[in-house]
Amino acid sequence: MKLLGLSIRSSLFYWRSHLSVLTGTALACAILTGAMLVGDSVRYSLNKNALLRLGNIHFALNSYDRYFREDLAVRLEAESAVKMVPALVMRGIALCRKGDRGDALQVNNVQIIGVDERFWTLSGIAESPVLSNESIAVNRKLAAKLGIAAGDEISIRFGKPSLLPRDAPLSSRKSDETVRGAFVLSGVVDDSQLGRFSLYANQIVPYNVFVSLQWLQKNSLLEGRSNLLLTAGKNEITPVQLNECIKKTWNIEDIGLVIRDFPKRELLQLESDRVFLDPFITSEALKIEQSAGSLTYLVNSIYRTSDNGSLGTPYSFVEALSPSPAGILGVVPEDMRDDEIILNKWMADCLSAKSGDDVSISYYELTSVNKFVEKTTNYKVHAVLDMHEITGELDLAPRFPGLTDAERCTEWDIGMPMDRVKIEDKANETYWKAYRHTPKAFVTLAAGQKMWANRFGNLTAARYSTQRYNKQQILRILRDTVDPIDAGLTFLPVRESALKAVNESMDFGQLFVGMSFFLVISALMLTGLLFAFGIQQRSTEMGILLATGFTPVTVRNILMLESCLVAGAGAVAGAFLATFYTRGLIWGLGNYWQGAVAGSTIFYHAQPLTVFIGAITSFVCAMLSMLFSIRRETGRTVHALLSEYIGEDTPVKGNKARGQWLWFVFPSAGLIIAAWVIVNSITTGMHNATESFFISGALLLASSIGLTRQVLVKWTSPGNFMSLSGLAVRNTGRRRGRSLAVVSLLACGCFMVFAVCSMQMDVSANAWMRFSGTGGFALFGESTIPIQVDINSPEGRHKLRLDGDDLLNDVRIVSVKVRDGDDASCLNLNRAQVSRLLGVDAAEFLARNAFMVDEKKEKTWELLNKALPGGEIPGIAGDADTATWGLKKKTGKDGDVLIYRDEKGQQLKVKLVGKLPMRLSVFQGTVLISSSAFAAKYPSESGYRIFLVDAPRGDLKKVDDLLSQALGKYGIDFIESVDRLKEFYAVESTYMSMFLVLGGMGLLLGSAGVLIVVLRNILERRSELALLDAVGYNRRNLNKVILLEHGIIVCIGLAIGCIASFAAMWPSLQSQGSNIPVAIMLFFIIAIVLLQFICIGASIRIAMHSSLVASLRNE
Amino acid sequence: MPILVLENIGKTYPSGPNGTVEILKGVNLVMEPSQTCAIVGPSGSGKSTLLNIVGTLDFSTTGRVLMDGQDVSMFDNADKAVFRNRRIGFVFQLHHLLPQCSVLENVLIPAIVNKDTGDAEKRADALLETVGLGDRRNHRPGQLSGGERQRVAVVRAMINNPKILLADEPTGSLDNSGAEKLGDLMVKLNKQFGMTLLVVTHSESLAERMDMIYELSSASLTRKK
Repeated sequence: MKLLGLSIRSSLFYWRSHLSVLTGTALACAILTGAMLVGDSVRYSLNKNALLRLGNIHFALNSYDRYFREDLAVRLEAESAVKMVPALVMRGIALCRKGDRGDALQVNNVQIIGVDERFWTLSGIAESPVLSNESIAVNRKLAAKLGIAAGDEISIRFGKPSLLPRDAPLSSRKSDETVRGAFVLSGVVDDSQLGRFSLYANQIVPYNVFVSLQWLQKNSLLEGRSNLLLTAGKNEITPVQLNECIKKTWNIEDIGLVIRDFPKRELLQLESDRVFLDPFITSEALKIEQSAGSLTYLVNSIYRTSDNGSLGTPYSFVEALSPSPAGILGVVPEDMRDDEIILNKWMADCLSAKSGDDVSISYYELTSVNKFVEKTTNYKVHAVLDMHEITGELDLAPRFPGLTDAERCTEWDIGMPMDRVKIEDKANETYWKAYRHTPKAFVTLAAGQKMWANRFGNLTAARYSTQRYNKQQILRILRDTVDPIDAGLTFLPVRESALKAVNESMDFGQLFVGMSFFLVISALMLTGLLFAFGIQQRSTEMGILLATGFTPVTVRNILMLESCLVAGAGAVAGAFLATFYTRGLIWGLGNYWQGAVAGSTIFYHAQPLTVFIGAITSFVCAMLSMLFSIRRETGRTVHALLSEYIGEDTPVKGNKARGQWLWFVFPSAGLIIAAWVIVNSITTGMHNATESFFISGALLLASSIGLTRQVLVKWTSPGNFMSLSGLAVRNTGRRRGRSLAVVSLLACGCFMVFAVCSMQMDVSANAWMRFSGTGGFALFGESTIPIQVDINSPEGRHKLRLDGDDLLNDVRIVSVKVRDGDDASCLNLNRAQVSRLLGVDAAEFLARNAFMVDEKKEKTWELLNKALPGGEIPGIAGDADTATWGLKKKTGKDGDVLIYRDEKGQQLKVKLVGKLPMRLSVFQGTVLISSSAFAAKYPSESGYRIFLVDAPRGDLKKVDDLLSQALGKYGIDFIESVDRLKEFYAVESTYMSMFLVLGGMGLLLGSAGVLIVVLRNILERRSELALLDAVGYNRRNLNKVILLEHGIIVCIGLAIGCIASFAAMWPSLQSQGSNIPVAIMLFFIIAIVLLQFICIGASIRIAMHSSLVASLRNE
Repeated sequence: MPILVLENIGKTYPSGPNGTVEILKGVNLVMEPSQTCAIVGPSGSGKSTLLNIVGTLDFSTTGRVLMDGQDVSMFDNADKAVFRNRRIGFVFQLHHLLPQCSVLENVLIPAIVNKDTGDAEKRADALLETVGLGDRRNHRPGQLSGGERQRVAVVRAMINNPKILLADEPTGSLDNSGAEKLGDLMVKLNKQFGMTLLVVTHSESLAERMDMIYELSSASLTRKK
């Protein structure tokens, strides 16, 4: 018979013992592999979601609030031989009326997507919904939310876009209007038909409305324009190649530039439909030889300096022009200095001014935080021009919607503050009637740019002489020199980014393995114990094998082979069981732990490799746990193996005793270090709470278990124990390994469970305080359509109809600008690739000490205004969790740099110089930059979309109602700030409850281990118990001894676990907002103690069921 | 008055689906105080079963056991435990010493249950001196020889001054020399303390040293000496 044969025969003979080991291994494997498979399933589901939201789309050109000509798609298609699909996307609101009373149901933050039939080809499905001027389609999520079906009526509302950004000076506020359209729902777009379409890496399905592209273009006054270009691409095409195609096919008209011909003046003028020419255009436009720049502005007043304003005129157009020889390109001659001004005759008469007189111009300067500051500049009159000399300037002047198209001055509607009295100036009105917006004065371009250059541009036009150039030449030069990327015309690999976001998403496999760690360890310890018991039973057999000439290695190999067979079979069975266990966990995620996956549907998916890795890992772990026993048993002498006292631990004496002091010194040192770590964490203000928790917790556990070993050694030493309790205490040290295994299992289990319980946070505690995650703001609002006005100013309130109720007088609102991006909060399972960017006015928060835990020490808000080298912009993470988990980036002096693209498609480096100090804030998932940096980089992102409301606590509901009602048309949702924190916290809270369930299961498994240990102890000692029975111990006494012995071990384990967890959590418990669920923890403690004693009781009952007398015999 | 009276003791065990095996049938025995008696017989004849019935560790199917005039078969389990503790001493073939306890502690095990540890310790020391193990009182069982362990087991049986000492193959696991010494010890203790001694043994030499010898064969007890 060969070794393998002997092993197989032994395995079969001891099948009962091995079956229990196999079960333990299978359990460990099922738990471990199952946890890993959850990771597979979540990743698969996210991948599926990502592909559903993108269909066949591989690349996208998203120009946000810049609109390009739709026919660019046709030229690009011809150049690249890749199908291009243009679309126009806006944010809006969906409304419908339900019920007999016609109650309006409104859904905010809806994506309104203007598409034509080309869009649907990207889904790969031939069927497409009917979109027309009367009918639209919505996705399933929106249909379900509104409760509508095909044939029902539905309305949409969106903010009318403006080519001239609304924040720009002289931009009309008339365009601060919304457009509403009423339709019949033609159908519900399925997820497989791009119903989930979105370019943001988020598993949460957006609310989508699909409208006719033509209808949307027409009603948003963007006929023939798009802001999105989608393509499925083709094999091996890259974004770089696509961008090259853009360069080859684009023309400057695509980005709203136009060259007007003025034959009478022999001039060509470059203009933009955004009114102001972007700096990247002007730099190239003025590089052309013999060009002139023009910047026209509306000034507040022009007056004689000497008369201090008594002679003057309000609200006049002034043009700044590059000086040109003989006035070819404008009226400003070459010899005019920058401190000189030319007045037209009407203006000169009005001021009684002549050449050489001093004239002042007062005008508004637009600050970075969108405030207008009045400034004044003095000039000397260079010349006075007759009106006929400047008549042509009217045609050349830019057209400001709401201003230049007004019939009367009183009808002007622009963003700048205007004096209602001055605007009614009769003389000015007369001029308007006669000359419209013909400039009243002219300065040099340099002087004009010094006064009026702003982030939207420093020219309103560029002029060229037709004597030098024709229109085509200018067009060609500009096309060749301007980079379309600067205009936001750049393709990005959205599919690749989406898949990257999925690949870098939170690893649920790791999360579940972590959460199941204790459960796996319990199963492995159980496996090890069962195996150890099995081979201890066979110590005589091993002794005989050794006595008959087998070497210890051979005996070890026989046992190893056996354990291999058992562990292998267990791993295979476990891998099979894992598929069911995973389904169970996914069911839990779908029904009880939805918060953990933000309500997403998770589909079961198993990768064979994961199953293999899980099975192999479990097999190896099970083998290791068994190897320990094999080494221990086969390391004994033949004499010891055949001895009747095999496995009993004796008092430590002789050489062994000399080293025992180390067992006291090391644990004691561990306890001292743990205490120091805890105290240090408290005194340093919890800056390293997590590390402190794990270090002190591990030290406390290890040291306490080490000291317990010493106590057990002490208890087995000779001494007077003249009582039943004494006998029980003595027994605890008989099998120190077993006792310590039970102590460790229970201590670790309790530690994990109680520590997790202690981690519960009360987010509502201190929610009204400035240092909390709400910043002390009562309400958090987010609008779908940006609000353009200063919501705190009287004008703004009047415009928004917020001035009707006195209650709102005490309400102050901090407005925040938003650049949409990926949500980096815990609600997004995908890894944010380009997170949402918020533009905040740091001064508003500094003034309130908002979001500052220690206002004396912290300079977080001040960091936003710090100048950084290399063109980097300082940014701060929305909260600590955003930095750590959402972005996984470092913050501070050596903080990481996030790469964004600004509005011009240029790389924007945001360095994370800090983070809001609290773990959770209302800004979670975002990166904050200063409003000035935001405005500079995203000038087209006009208006505000996030609002933090300071309101009286008692009237919160009423304030909420008033604001929601007044701002309803902007699709605004207000939520109590603390509720927003609770939404985020729900994710963590769910993780904790998952951990508690899995940890509880681990403790249950640990209890099974206790049951087995007790059972084993009793069975091994049946003859001893029979002897006690014989000498007069009744059953009660025997039960008392056993119960006490094992009860002591259980209580030591529980006590170590509880004390260590509370001590390690102590620094966190000292912090604000900790919420220890005392009742739950007490329940847990009682339940665990009861469970353990029930297990001990059950073991006693099983083991003592039959007569003990037989054990006294020699058989 | 006899210290032990066995009246018509019978014992059957169930065997197979419906059958029974009769181990003891109509066994009668009377022993006076301080008397010694050996029960011999082939293996499996029921000697140990009879001893266990006498020691209240097992019960008879028929008949009764009178010890010191009391019908012990009428006692409940708790009373039997107290009775065993106070009146009976046991010595088994295996010593069944507690490995975690010292020699002295092992000896005191029966005393713990009736909380008589104060006097018991003195008695234990005296008894250990008597059996020649005075210097081993703090040793563990693992540190003793087989004969020494069995002597400790005898002292443990004697610690509560039992009226009757029941020994089941006490020399079964010892060599001839050890068996001889243990036999001497038991006789010596019998003489010194006057307890009744009932021994089940295969050892003819040990049996010969008893006042009476009974043979158990075919479920019946027959006096040989």
